[in-house]
Amino acid sequence: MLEATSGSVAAFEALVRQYQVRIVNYATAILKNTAEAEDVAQETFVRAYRALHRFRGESSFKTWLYTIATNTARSALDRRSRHHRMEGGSLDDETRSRGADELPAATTDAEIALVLRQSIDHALATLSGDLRVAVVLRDVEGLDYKEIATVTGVPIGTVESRIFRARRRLRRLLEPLVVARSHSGLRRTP
Amino acid sequence: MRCDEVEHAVMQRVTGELATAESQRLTAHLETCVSCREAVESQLVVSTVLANRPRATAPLGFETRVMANLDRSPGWLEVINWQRWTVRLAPVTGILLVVAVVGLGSVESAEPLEFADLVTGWVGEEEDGRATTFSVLWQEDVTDDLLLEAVLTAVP
Repeated sequence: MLEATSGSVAAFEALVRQYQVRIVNYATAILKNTAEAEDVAQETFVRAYRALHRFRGESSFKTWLYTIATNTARSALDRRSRHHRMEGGSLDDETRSRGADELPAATTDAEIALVLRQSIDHALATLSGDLRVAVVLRDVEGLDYKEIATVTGVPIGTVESRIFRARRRLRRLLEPLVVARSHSGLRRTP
Repeated sequence: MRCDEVEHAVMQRVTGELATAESQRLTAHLETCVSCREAVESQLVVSTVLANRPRATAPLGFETRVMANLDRSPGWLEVINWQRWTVRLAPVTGILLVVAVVGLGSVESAEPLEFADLVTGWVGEEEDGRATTFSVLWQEDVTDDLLLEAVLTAVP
């Protein structure tokens, strides 16, 4: 980390290697769109590289990186929202949760995993940005309340409240997945 | 415990920070309040589903693309980073200071050059016997040979 902050490209490459899966996964959960998420993840690392000299070590590098990723993802969501407004489209179609009977058929474990992830991300996309970021950082990325407060810049009490409300809203949307998994996982095609 | 206290109590219990007495009050409240019980169940169900969400992986070549996209030249924020420039320019500043001090010293020791002083210098030199040079220029009976010699031997 110290080497990277002093400008070592090789050291920064090691950091990219270490955190790339976390950041790509986080961006995918926030944005749902895989291609857009990869762009955001890439931009996150580029921004981090440019701002490395300003990293003071007051928070962990992980928290600092998630902060950049969150800001980058928010910008992408804003751009998407503006684009939808200009095009006269509605976000409802994109963010509408899938019902249990809408789950696509899957044949292999990889396909099942993909369908499961996409279904969860569809449900997450129905939440507001603040609730989504909070619950994803907690339940998907495993950050504690204090770390989430640092990333989002709000008090811990607000973080708790956002996570609580997000889970309550997601319960109904994720219920089909719980049911589907309890019946031998997602539907497999014969 | 009231319903509006449940949210904070539940979140504290998850992290193991809820005091025993408060935990007992929460349990007692959940036994009688269906709405809060469902809310707490939602916390458990959703957090379990999300924790088991299959992770998206970085696509092949992601790391290479990131490294290729790094702008090796500094951004504008880095350019105006005064701390970095202060350190980088310190030796240059030191050299300029030394040059300024030495230069000012020699300027202070020099006196204004006036024509009268020059003449005085020439006369003085002649009186000291070190030179015969320019005084010949205003002698009436000077010969051409002396004038020529004075010009040729004059040190600028």
